[in-house]
Amino acid sequence: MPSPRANLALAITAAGGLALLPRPLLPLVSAFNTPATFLLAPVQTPVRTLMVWLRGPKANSPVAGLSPELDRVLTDLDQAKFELAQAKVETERLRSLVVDLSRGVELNPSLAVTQIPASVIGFGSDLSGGLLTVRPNKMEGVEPNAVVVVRGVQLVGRVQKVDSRTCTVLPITDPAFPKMYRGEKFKGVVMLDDQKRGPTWKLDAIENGRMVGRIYFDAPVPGEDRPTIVNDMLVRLFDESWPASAQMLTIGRVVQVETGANERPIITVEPFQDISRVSEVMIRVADKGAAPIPTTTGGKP
Amino acid sequence: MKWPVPLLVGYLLLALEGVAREYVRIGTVSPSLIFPFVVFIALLASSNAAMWTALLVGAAVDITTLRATSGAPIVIVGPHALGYAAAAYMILTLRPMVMRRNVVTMVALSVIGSWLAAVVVVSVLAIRRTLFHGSWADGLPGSLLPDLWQRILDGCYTGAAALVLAAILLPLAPWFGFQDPSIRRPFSRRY
Repeated sequence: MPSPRANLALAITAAGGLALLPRPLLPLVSAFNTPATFLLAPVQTPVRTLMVWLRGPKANSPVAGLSPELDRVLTDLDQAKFELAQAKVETERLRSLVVDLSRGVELNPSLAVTQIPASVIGFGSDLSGGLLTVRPNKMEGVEPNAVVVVRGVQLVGRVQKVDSRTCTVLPITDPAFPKMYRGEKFKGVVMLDDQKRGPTWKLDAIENGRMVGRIYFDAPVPGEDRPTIVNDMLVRLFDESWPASAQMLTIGRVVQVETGANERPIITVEPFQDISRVSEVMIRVADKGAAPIPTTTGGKP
Repeated sequence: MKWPVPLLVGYLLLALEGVAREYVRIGTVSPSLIFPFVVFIALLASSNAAMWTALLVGAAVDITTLRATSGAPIVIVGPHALGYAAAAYMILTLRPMVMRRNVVTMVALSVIGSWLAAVVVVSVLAIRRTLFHGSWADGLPGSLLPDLWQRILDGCYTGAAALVLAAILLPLAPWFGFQDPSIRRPFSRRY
């Protein structure tokens, strides 16, 4: 029988070997992550809920010291603003849809969206991993790439992996996020006021949970000045590569404005909500039960 | 050492690690709760038990860390296991020269040990980057130097967590059933 020292040497060698497994073999060890996370959840979930409760309303609200009622009203207001902004975008989309349909293009029907609450279990033991594990109330309909929000309209990220009881969310503030989608860095629109859309913002880099990107102005209208971007302006998602239901979700607010090459503004956007300090998020999934918006087939039988 | 007690405490601290460190985070710097536990065991348990605890805790940290990549998320088992084992070995080497049941010792060794563990973890990730290319590459975002700096800062903050944990764990030491280790070099033969 090997001595304790030999056993230890063997274990260290095995750890070294596992540490140098090439990526194609990593799924073999990754399979242990789900049961390990599941084992830790009974302690993590109540502790997280307790922490959020101890921090009080501030933890769930971007504005400190609000009563729960006022906080709820503000959340509803955010939701209403989002729905109005989205309705405007949808109107524009439908206008172009009418044009497309008249040319005989068959398009997929739009689907209604259901928000599934999911309690946050947490990040892994090493925060550098960057992925957030959540446990949805029901797994039905939760699929990879589903959009995840907090407080109804504030964009958190997208579902990356779905297991039997939990799923993994990649936050938009994680440096790996743009790489996940073939380097497609998402775009947004700077809101000049509650409903007036301003110039386009395109993500360039993610640094310490903040998103830095350049501003692209539309072609100048004669006699009209370029809008000025200032701090605290809202930035909403406006990117055709994302689902239509996700358009106009809130990315964050402008916290820094700099001038780059060609006097193009470079702005830093910070999410309203520190996602590491929320106990619940919402996963937006297509509502299979809802009737699809009827579309014609453009003259086809 | 009575294994059920450290296993239970290790489980609780590992579960709290992912949650609590987010809440006590200052900017991007957050402490580790589990590492001071490894230091505590390395200071008071037998050499063999200390090394096995460090390896197991490190492996558990690795398994529960899902890393975001350009493809599917991955788990890399080994960096923390080796890092914690290296830190435990360093503490085993140093412990004949320190006051083992002292809060300050635990704080200081938690800071120094987590720096060593950070160097090992980042080195393993660097070796992987050097060895593997193309479809074999991890695709982890960012460069490793800022990651090392972040871990070193985390290590400083871990000292604060060690202060709190030392106040809890040191009075509980009799429950762990440590043999009173005579001050001797790690892995030396007992005659």
